[in-house]
Amino acid sequence: MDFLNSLFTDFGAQILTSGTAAFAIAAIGVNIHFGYTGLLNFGQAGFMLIGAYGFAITIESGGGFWLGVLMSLLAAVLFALVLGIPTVKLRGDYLAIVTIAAAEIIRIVGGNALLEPLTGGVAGILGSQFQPAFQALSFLPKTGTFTLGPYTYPYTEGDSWWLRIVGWSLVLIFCLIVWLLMRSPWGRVLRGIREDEDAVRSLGKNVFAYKMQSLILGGVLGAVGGDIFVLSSSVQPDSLGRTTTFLIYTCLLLGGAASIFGPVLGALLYFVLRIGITDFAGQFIPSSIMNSQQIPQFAWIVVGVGLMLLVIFRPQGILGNKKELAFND
Amino acid sequence: MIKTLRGRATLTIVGVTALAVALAGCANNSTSGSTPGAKPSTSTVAALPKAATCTSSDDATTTFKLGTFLPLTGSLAFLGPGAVSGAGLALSEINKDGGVLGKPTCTIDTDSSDTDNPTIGNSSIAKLLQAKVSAILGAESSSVTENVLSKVTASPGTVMISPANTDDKLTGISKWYFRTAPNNTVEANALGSQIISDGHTKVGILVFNDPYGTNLRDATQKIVEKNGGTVTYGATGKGQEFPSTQTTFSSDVSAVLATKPDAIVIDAFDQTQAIITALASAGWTMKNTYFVDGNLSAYPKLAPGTLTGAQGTTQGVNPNSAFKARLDAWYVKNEGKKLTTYSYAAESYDAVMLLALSADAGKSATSAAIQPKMLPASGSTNGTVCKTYAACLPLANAGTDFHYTGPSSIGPFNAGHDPSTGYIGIYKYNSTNNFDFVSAVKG
Amino acid sequence: MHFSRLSRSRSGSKKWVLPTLVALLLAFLATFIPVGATASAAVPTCSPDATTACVRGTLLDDDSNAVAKVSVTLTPPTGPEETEVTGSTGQWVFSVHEKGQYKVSVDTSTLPKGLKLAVASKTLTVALSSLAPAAFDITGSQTSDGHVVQQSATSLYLLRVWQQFASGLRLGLLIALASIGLSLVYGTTGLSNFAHAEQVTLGGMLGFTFAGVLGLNLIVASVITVILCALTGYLQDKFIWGPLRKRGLGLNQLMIVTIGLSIALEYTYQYFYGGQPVAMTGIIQQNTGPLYMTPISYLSMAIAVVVLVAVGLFLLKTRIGRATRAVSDNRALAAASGIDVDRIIRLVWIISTGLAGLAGVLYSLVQGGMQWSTGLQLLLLMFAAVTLGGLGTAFGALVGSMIIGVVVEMSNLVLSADLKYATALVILILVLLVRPQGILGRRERIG
Repeated sequence: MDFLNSLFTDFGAQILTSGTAAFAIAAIGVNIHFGYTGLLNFGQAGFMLIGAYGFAITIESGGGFWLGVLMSLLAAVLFALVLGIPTVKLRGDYLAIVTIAAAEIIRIVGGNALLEPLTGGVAGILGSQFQPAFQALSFLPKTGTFTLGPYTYPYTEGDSWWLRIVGWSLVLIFCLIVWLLMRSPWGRVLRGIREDEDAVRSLGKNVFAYKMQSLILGGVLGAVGGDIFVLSSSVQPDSLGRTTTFLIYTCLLLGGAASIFGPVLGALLYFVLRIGITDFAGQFIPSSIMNSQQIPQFAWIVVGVGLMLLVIFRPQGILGNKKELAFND
Repeated sequence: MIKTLRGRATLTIVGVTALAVALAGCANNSTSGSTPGAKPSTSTVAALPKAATCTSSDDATTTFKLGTFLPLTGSLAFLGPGAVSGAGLALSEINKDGGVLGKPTCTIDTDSSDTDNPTIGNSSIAKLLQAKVSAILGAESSSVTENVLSKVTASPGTVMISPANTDDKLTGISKWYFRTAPNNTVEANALGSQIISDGHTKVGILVFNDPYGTNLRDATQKIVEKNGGTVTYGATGKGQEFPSTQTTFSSDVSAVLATKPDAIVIDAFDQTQAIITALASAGWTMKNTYFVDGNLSAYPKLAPGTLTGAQGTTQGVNPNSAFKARLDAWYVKNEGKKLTTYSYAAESYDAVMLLALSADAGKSATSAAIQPKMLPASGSTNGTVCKTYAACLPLANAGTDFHYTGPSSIGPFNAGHDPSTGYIGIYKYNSTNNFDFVSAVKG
Repeated sequence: MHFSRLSRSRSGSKKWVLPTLVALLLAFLATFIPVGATASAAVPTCSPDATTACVRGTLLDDDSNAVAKVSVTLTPPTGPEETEVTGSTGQWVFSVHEKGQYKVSVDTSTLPKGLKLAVASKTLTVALSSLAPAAFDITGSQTSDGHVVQQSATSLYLLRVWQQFASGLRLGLLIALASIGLSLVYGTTGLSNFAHAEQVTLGGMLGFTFAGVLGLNLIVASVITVILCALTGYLQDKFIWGPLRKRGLGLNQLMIVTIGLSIALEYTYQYFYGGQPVAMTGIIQQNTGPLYMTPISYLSMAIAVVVLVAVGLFLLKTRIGRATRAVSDNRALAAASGIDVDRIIRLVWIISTGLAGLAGVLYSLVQGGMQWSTGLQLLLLMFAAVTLGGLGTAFGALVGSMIIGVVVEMSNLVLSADLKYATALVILILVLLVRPQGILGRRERIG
């Protein structure tokens, strides 16, 4: 009983973090790419990273919060242009490989030891270098904590109520925007491209331009997700690498691609499920079978197998519509 | 159709798992049978049971709840067992000696993972903070610590103590943050002096691009240059660091050997085995090789004699074989495996001891009570020296100043919460690729 | 026809392949040479403690040979001088018990003939319980002719270029071996298999299990490993990929299934083998010959070449090989012309995982071990190689792999060493800009 009680409190604690909000935002971005346009962007973590760099470096060099946000978005737009112009014409799997390669290049170059004065190298940019600019905007008290039910968090510092409010508000705003966009003629063209690119082209639409717009929009959301993510941690190139991209896809597929709330639900569920597996295994499997180091490794194996089974047996995810999901070839 | 598929997929997964279990069963058996470095003295030590897992009914002010935040998965998972055994042994011994504030301690073990998987660390920290732990032990990677630190130190503030962080940026970063890790300057002093006094003036450094590697490299370079030596490869600002994920080292070895060094320092973690292979193949005289605390461990799988004469430095005086035996016994009993590395075990042990004694001295198991007592407990007030929990506990309870010194033999914390001085041991590899104590110097 | 280059090489039979392989394997066992160990002689000792500091140094000449029988004098701040004569290791050491400034000087008249010392005395600040080092830079050599052969900086650099090129070829061949299967699977099924890298890791891990743990002979262990790896390909296609193909699951979904598999496998390796690298053998061979490579490296390269040629001949000359290519070109047409497409694809999976396993074994032997994450680190290089060469073309994979291997191993000659992999990926993107279908790919495949 006590175990279940603390487990559910724990689930709540996982759901409420700003990190989850950041992943939800990035997943909404991928949903625009993959779910609605059929673009296989495997470089979403690269968008998050380049956005976070633009944001943190601008603030660190005295540009202030809003200029930082602007630079962050501009960096993502630029990255989308550089990446997209030569590649969106290519078939899906080429795009996947090129985007993953480009994201890795950003990550590796960002961690280059010679760039340490700018990017902080592999250790990255410490949160204390840029987070105060965001915390200064808080209308909540600057120090102290606030308790809501079983949850006590700081007002403004670290992973605060302030950051959580901003993060989750952005999640809702972006969901609304995606909902409106996908109902619009523009959104219908995107879905048309996903279903049959040639048919859309034969209607006289500029498929390339639509794909680029989709790539830019989703990439900008990636950058916003990256900004939210680093506001409670630090800008580290390795944190926003391939693993993170795969994780975002897992969230998206779990919740359901091409659905408005799919990516959000997926992000929430993913974190809850993973900690649930770890806690259950830790509670009920004796250490003679699995020691404390093997339990989290086991949780990862379950995550991997779960992703396989999910895509095999319910490719549309929890909220997705199977009929929407013809983005096969 | 779907039914058969489901059956088949399940069958496959079960089958593959069974095969893997069978294969790895073999792997486990014979690794444990031939683990060198651990002397077969474990039978003489009575293994203590592991401290219980905390429950939500444990009161935050009276029960000392240790949250561990150590790399259990990912690229630093190989460093996990050392710290897990050090921290676990410390808690078990504390419980044997009466616990903290008269009550047995409990623990919540979480995974810090590595920088590639930041969500794991974030989840773990959320869990530990939600459980209102007395203090957090971890992380081992400086980068992971930097990723979660702003969450930990935000109000109300939780004490975090790392057994392994060495990044200079972390000095004095927060009043809540401490570390028992070997200080770079201290270790570099010993390492650099040893290299120079062995007659080597041209030093090549194979360093990986990570705060651990580059900080230690910077400090070592300073000592070498101060004593009239030069760093021929891997020097600061030359862009010769290799990425931490690299698995092939022939080009780096070709590059360092082309600079004709007298001695080579391998400043790396688990990449070391591949580097040794590449260096030895290239005909490098292994006795002119120097290891650092991150990779000074036994290499039992290498052919005997491969590393003979190579030297290395690590924190702590002659590793107490009794301490190692206790770690071994604890790990076998509670984690069901043989320890293969002792990296950061002593540092973790001492970190937990300092936290527990600070809680005793502060008369409460909350971070707010522990934090102000950490410096005095580490000896910053020159209190009575005591070496075990049992010996220090009466002093802490009586409110007298005490100075805990444990197996890691670090000095008192300074104002930046770094260990001020400490003893660095110098070790030399023997023909079994294990290392023997040579001497200890104070840094 | 992109296979034409190799089709002209003679010998349609593959009978010679097996004996050659066995011979090479035997040759490689015979060439294992353990690294010689040198015993160090007794040296004067000093251990720093609370009341002791050590002033220490070692006299070595330009060849790093010890300079023995040289007098070294220590002048303390107070009290009498001390003198010591270096032993066979060239080392001298004084134990001192007071902190302060100490002067150390070398009696240059006792230096062997031909050796010179520019600065013969040094002043050191000594603190207790520490080691105070003093370096004396002796120039000259004690070898019989007294003449030091110094390699010029240019020749050292050229040597390095040559060495790195050779290791680039080696890495390229290993990547080729690993990625040719990736390319074949892609060609016949259209699937980008993200779990292919874990098949490479599997080779190293099983190799370790059989050779390192169970102590089997390396050849036997390698053969068993490759067979087991090929078996995993068969099982995967029979129970996972085959049924999913029949169900018509989209390629993008399938790709994500492989990502799930790759995550599960990575952590399965971690679960059972731990985080450290594991090696099949602890014996480190010495480099031999002009290429600066170990015998096992030569052998691995030879095996890689033989296997790659064999795969090429198989594709070009055998019925099944031709059928495989037909499936790659147009699956529907191939099926219509009576080819059992599913059988071909199953065969391709077996070959693909078997080759990946072989690559894993060879990689582990050449690089001194395999870790749970090794495959993961190679994955992008493999993808870069097959994309660079042209997705789905077996020979393209070979060409792409060689380019990637050489670029990765040589990029640190001009760029930061931590940009090795990034350089390879930049090249990939640049080539795709100019020639989107890859070097040997055909244009209609990309749109």
